Amino acid sequence: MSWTTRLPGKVARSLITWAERSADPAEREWIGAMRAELDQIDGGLAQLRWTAGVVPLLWRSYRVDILRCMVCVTAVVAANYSFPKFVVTYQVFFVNGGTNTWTRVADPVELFFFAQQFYLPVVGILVARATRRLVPGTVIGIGLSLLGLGVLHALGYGSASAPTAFAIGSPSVYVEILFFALVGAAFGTLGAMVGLRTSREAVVRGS
Amino acid sequence: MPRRTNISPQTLRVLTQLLTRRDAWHYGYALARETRLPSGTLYPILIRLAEQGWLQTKWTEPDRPGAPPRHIYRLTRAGARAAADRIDSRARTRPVLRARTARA
Repeated sequence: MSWTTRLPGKVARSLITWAERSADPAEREWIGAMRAELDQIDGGLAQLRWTAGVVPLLWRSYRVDILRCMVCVTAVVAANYSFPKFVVTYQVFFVNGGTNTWTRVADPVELFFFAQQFYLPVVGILVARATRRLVPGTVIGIGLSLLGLGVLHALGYGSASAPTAFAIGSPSVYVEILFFALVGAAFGTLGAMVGLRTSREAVVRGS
Repeated sequence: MPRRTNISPQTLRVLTQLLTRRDAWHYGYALARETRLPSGTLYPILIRLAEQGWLQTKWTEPDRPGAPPRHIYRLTRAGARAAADRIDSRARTRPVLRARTARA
């Protein structure tokens, strides 16, 4: 048997074993059932085609997470599009390497914006792991993000010396609150989702 | 009265196949070949049928040493009744399917 025949078969077996380990326990049994049928299938390519069938089963396992993730990403993108503060921060840190002229005026503000994108998901993960629920991650995310808005004010956000993109009150303070709540909810939920998923998998592996 | 769920043509093909040898156990790969459905379509259907209580599943002992146990399927009594009912009502509107189920 040539390697061109053997290789797809080996790939198929590895993929289906990986999928079985990654799936939810409910779908794991069914992926195991698909794996057991591999021996009956002649030809590596036919086995690979058979293995491709695990994708809809994995989608069943992860569809809620994927949909939530899409909602959260859409929320953050929509918030940035209408109120481009995070985009400006990314530009300062990644595109201009921190050398942008804005950094001279608004260093702490930019740092805070930048840090928020890391600490909010981390808090979401921790809260979800402690409570084993998703909603507290969202709620704490919103609360902390709004608290961040207060801290930003203390750092001079919106002061006369801050650049236009960071100046508060451009549309209205309610838009600011809505923006921070939206971003907090999205990042908190994303973090909580990851926290719940990883803790569930740890429980399954431990059992 | 509980609402009747819609059944896809693919599910109907699986049900028809399971109903042809109602008391026999069916293997997944054989079902896929007989219904000409890819595994990615067949297994979600089998999962749904099992969740509805229409399908009975079990693992069999391997037929040769070293081989993994295989998962096999057959319709439950309720599943067979419901399947026959759905196939019959679909066949009334689809003559081709009626001919197939009549042969079976």
